[in-house]
Amino acid sequence: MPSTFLGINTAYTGLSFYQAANNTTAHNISNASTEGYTRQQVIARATNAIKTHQSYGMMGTGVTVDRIQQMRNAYYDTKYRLNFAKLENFSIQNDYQLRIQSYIDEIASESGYTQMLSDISSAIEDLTIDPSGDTERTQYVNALDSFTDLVNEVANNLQQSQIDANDEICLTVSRINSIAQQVFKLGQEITVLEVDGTVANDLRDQRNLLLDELSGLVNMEVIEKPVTYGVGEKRVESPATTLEVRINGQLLCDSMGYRQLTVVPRPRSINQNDVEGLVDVYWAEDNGGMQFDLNSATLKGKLRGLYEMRDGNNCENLQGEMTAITSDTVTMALNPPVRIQDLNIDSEGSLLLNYGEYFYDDWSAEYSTNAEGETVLSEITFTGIKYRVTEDDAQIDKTLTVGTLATRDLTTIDPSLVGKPAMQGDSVDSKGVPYYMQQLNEFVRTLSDYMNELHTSGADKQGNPGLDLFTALDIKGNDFVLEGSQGETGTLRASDSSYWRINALNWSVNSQIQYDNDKVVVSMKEDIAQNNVSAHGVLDSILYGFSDPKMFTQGTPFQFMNSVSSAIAVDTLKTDMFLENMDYVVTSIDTQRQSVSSVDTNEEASNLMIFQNGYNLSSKVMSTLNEMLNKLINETGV
Amino acid sequence: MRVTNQMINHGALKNIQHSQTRVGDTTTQLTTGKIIQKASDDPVIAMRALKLRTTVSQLQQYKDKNIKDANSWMDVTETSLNNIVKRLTDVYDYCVQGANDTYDSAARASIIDSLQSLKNMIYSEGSATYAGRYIFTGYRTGTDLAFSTQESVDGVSYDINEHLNSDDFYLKKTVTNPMQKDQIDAYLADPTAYEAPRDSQAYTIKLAYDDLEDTNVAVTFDGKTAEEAGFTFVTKDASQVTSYYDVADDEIAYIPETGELVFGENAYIALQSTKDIAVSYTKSTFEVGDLRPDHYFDCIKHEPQTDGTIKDIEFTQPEKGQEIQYEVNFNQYLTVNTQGKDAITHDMGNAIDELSNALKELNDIEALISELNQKLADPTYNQNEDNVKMLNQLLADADVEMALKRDNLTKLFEKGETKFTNFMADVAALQSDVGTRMDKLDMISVRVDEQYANFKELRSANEDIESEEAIINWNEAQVTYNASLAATSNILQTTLLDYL
Repeated sequence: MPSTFLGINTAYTGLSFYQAANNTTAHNISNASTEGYTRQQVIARATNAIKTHQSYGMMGTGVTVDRIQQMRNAYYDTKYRLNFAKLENFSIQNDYQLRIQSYIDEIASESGYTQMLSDISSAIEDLTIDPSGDTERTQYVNALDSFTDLVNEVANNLQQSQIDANDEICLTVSRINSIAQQVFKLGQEITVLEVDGTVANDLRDQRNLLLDELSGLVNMEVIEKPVTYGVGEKRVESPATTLEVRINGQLLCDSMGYRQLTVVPRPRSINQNDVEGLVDVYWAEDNGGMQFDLNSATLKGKLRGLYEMRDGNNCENLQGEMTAITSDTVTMALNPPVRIQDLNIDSEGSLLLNYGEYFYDDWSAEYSTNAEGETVLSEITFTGIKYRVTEDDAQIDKTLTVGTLATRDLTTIDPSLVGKPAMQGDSVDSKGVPYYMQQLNEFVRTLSDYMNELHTSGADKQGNPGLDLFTALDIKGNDFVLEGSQGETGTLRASDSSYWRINALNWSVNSQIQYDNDKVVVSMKEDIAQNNVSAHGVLDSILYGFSDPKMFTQGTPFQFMNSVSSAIAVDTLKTDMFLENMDYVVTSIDTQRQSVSSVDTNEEASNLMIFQNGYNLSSKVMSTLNEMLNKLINETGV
Repeated sequence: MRVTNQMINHGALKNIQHSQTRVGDTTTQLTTGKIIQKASDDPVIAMRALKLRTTVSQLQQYKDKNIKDANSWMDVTETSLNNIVKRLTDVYDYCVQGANDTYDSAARASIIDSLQSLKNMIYSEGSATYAGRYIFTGYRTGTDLAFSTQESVDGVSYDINEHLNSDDFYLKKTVTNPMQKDQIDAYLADPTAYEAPRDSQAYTIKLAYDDLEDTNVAVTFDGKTAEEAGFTFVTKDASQVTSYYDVADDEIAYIPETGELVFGENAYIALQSTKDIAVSYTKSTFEVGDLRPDHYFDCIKHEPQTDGTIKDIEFTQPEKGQEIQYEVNFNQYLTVNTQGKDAITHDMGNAIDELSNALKELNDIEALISELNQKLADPTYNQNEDNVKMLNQLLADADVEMALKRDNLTKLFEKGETKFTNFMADVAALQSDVGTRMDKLDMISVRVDEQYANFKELRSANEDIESEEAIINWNEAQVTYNASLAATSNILQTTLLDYL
């Protein structure tokens, strides 16, 4: 026979259960619009029945709150994060591509290269109509000047994009670091709280929110493991878990601690037009100091997208095989040979020897003339090879300072380098800033070479030999005096004033011609000598040059520029479409996730009713029992 | 699947954004009138647009600049050639009259003036310009055809290489020992020194210029010098003026003053079928109005500079002349200029000079006859019997000389008729050439206009929106947007709580 007061107790469990249930409903409703909040549910369980020793057996004793459960499905989290990394990757790429596209905006702009090239043609035609006209000469020089300015501006903007991408990489890295730290700290709290079997719902929500953010920055995976005690066979699992987070397969944080990334500026640039101070990402010295390879094939997320835009060279970096090494020089055979206009290495820069990073002070190259009459380089020798001193190196040799460049006998480190690959930076399979810069460089070099040859073949108004039409400005703002290749074969040095010096940033119309338009060449020396002021043989060739389909493999200069702007348009369209696709995928995963996790106010409202009713009834039960006891105690048998 | 308010909210917001983007896109299309706003919207349309734009602007250059300019250039040329023909006709008219009629001396004097001014007018047409550029001088559009200022001739001299051929031989009839007015008193004082004038003729070649230097002359006949051909080459000087055309049979004479080569009988017979007679000579006295050798001959100009040095400029004449060509359509070139050396020749001036010289000589001899008659009537002379005898003799000879000269003049006028007819025909040929080119240009112009219109249409079809379609699209987008706003606002307003 159970206690007389059992019923009151049972009613009491009901009251406290409904109290808890409505508290949770209140919590849900309050957090209905909190980002990352996961709906919580009170899981009820009937309390243990007691034996009544009566014929009817057991009697129920009411209800208890078993646990407050988070309604979350880890499967959707994994899915979401996997795809969110890709989405952010495309999203940032698309961002930069739209920017690059706007620099070469031919559709909306009336002053793009299409217009400029048309202007040049018109100016040349006007000049052929009156080659002696002062206005026409000025107009011609101005048209050329506007065009070089446009190319400079595009190149400058490209450089600015590279700077921005680099800055964003730094920011992204520091955000990853901060997330790693926060996730670790939250993890510690959660583990402590959960040891006794409770679930730290709201802390977990915070942590999941951070992990969602992290997954957009870099591809990551999360492994949740139970905490174990003891050793060997006596090992037991506790209800608490620890979280291990890996970014691109490398450990970022676990229960023991978290690791930090650091950005290290490159001592020397890889591509000729790279801005100074582009950074590589390394693990902090305390965490091993290994490089975090941004060119890893598996890397995804915003970090990868930024890297592709900053360093993407469409795998068109200089690649070859080492044919000879001495203590501090490396000779690299280029097969197939590389044209001068495609050479985009800096006069001192960095290169990869058998995938190891090295730096050089200078280079020289052997050139020859190929069947098409182009000057091509078949072999480059880099001199003054150096390496970057690491912590370990500094430990061994105390005279070295970490991070500085030092020399070391190449033949002693690895005599087998010969025959191994050498390349200018990594091959990044994406069209980023270096790729477009390279395209522009090829454009200005080829065009300059072609036009200068024509311009120097003639004579100016006074009968003096023609100057170079296009030059480049050196650091002091003076024109380079360019020399074509001196013969069929020979040696080209970094210090030579070859067409390698001209690039999209410093390309300009010869300042002497800009200053004095008498120096514009329209015809040959013989014509000038005979006062043939309306002869325009050279000008005709120049005009033809602008529509010469053989100037580039892509065709005329206009077609070349078209191929550049269509490359960026097609690329942008591609990421546009990927982005739309990924957005759809991510949205639908997120919808599924929300379907499980998000708060529905209608549901909560109806719960509120249900729980309120339950609470009211439990109260009713209590007062009814009270009346019953009153009857029994105060009014029965007295 | 469980659906929550949050999902509906998110979904609704996303959809509103979608339809808002569409409203934005269609609005941009409507306001810019273009289908695409940036290349990545549709790279194919974009690249096609660029090509079409380039073609259109190139056609515009042909249409608005090159063709117009070519047309104006040829217009000026045509007017100028018309003027030349008019002047040549004037000369021709004098020839016709002169061949049939006899002018009196006053008329002759005025004709001489008219002929000279006609010559100047013809030569000065060579300085016709279009937009400040001389149109008849090939590529040398900065140099006029004839010297026009005193500065341009001061101190200038030329070494000229002139090429002639056997067609340039002509039989020149002259009077040797012509009577000279200022010599009458000398004849009277010493009758033995007097030689009667006589008719003489010789085959002659006229060079382009007269008043040449007597040094530095070289003549070759198909590459052979006169000596190599077996003849003697002599240079006559001014003291031999009365017997310039009196040459021995084996002699070839060079007369610097008149710029002529005179051939003896044998020399002419031997050389009359020479293909190339190359004469190189120096001329250092040019007058304003002379044609510049720059445009006619291979020559070297010696030009004094302000610093006292002499600058040598070598001119060569390309075989085809110097054609100025304009591109008037894609890869279609049209020659716009007419070679001045074809239209205005030294022969024209020389023929006019020859006529005026003959007229002047006739006037001179007439004056001389009247002088003789005066002297006969003058008592200071007619008292002396020897003088009277001599004067009568002179008078008789002068009459003969005048008859010869009158006959020469008539013949010259007759020849002039043919010559100037030929000159006119030459210029007319050039006129019709210009006319043909202008017709061709007209046709090209029509075609370019058509192409321009076509390509503009293609360009528009490629990149411009059709406004009806765009407006409908915009309306659709707007309707969807409004609907999504309305629906969303209703959904977000109500929850179950409203009904509890």
